[in-house]
Amino acid sequence: VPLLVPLLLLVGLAMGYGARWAGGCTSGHGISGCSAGSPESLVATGTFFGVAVAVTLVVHALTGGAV
Amino acid sequence: VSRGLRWSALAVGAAFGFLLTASGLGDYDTIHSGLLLQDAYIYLMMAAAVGTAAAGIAVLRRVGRTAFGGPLDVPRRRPTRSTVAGSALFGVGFGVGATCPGITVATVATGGLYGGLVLAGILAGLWLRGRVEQAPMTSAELRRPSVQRG
Repeated sequence: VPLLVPLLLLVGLAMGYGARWAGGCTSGHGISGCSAGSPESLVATGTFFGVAVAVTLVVHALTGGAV
Repeated sequence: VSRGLRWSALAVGAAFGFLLTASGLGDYDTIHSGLLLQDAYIYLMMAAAVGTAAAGIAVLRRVGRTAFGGPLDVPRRRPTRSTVAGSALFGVGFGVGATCPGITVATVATGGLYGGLVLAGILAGLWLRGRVEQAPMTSAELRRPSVQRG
């Protein structure tokens, strides 16, 4: 549990830094940008969903299915 | 900011926050099982949201202007290296935390410490990226016109 605090801060740090770098997040690129057919948003959404699925599957495998 | 824009933004935000929570997207397990590819719910939800927004934008394009925000401006941009790099980093946080910024804001009201800690990190990350983008270019970068910032 003590590890959870810095981990959650780092999770937020990655999302905040990444969203500003990419010009949007799940709402901005994922919903607004994709619905407007913006190529940048389609690439961004594909990238962050792809990476999120990969990271989740890797963590799941490394923790023996605990996470 | 006009009064109409202020009130409509408040109404849209309240509806968005309510629906994110009511739909279960604020629950860790909903996002986690989706990212584990065990449940299609979050992808169907994204598709429904994009479909609804696309219909709304099609209507707005005909009208040509928004109700309170002036002329319609729907940017279409080409992806850059920043799009991919930023989204990849975003995806790491998205995957590990099973939450995104919108959901995080909603869960500050419902999810206790989890949302609050992630939100603190998000604000720090936004600030940090702003600092990096404001930083003056090094002389090496100035000599290479192809280098893009931001």
